[in-house]
Amino acid sequence: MFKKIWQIILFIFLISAISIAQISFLPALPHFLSKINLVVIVLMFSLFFFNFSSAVWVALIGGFWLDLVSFNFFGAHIFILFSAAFLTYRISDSWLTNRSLYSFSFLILIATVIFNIIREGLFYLIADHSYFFLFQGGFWLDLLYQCAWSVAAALLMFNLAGILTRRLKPFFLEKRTLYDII
Amino acid sequence: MKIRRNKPIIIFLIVSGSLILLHFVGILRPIENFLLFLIKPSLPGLYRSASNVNQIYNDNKNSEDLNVKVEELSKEIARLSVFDSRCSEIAEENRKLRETLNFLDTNDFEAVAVGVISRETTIEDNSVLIINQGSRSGIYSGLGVVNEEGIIIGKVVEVKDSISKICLTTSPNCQLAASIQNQNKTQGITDGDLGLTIKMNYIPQLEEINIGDTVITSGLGDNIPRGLVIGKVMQIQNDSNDVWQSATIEPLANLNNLTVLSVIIP
Repeated sequence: MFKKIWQIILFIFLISAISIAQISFLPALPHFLSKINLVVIVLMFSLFFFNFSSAVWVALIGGFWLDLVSFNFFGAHIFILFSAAFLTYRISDSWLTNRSLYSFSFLILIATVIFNIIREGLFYLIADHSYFFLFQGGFWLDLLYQCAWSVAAALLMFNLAGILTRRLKPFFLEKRTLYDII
Repeated sequence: MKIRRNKPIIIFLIVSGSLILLHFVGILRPIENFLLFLIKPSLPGLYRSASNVNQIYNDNKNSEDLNVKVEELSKEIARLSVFDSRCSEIAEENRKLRETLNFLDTNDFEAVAVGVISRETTIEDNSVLIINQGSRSGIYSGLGVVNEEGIIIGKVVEVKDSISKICLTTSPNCQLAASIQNQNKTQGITDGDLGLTIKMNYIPQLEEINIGDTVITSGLGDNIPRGLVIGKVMQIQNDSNDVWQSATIEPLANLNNLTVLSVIIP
């Protein structure tokens, strides 16, 4: 029981710390580094290595912190992160059959694209911008940077997870004859 | 079976719905303020450390230009030294005159020291900063924000209880009432241009402006006092067929590494 409570507290603390880094640390870094989207990377990590339920909690906690400091309407980031998690989950459920590095990279890439399109689309609708984001070079350039960082993070995390957990270890069904068994 | 499968979605709808509802009703506000109070001390430090990394990166990137810059700055220092001695005399004369006439000091405004905690990214530019003080510190929308050298770098556009959003002078739609320090004291409105420079439009053709003229706030805006330096005229767009001319202004402050600022309360 105590172990479970401790895990929950640690989980909330970790997601909060990552969200705070996303708010205050990353935006001030040089341009190409400031495009790292840590929250989406962690969201996909929890979806791929754990389950959809933990990804939902990441979306709720991370989105709450981002909304707290944001001047857009409250709940926007919670909604965007959940949408990214949900759509990626549906894609992985329908199309992906294994837990390989390729599928993890693909998922993280898809989530990054979905996150950015929903985010900019939503803010375009509510903030009454004079420009349409899809026709802006800046949007595609930022997306390119984010995708590159996301794939790099996928490579790193997959290999780290391979060392730390057994979830990614391949297993083989050995073909045995009746004679072998006897 | 279906409910079990959709359990995370149901949990999400209940929790997020409650959070949004409680936020808009106002019940969540004390908790939000408490959480912000908890994390606020660490945010400017985090932002500053990342900003230092940015500064080091930019310094290394521009190292080849440094020698040229040093030479330029040496000349500028020599010129400013002469100017400074002249200004000291004028300032002394001015002080005596003020004492005689019993005028109030022109810098009669309060300033709230603030720290930058975040930079909000937009597609058009990177010109929105979040600072760690809000309406509780007496900040309200429209106030001018200066850096440590007293150069105006933007204005407050939105305020919450304990944080505020400021647009930088280079940000589109961040307009300031401005005046060029030339013979006619040409008035106009500055607006950001692509997050890089500042544009001053609608200057009548007859007004004479020169490259290098200093642009200051005119004080015609409600909440921003006169005399805060915005930048220097870098380029003049002057076509004889046009009714107006415009000027491109180079901001004097480095807007990429802002960490400590002051909000001017008139």
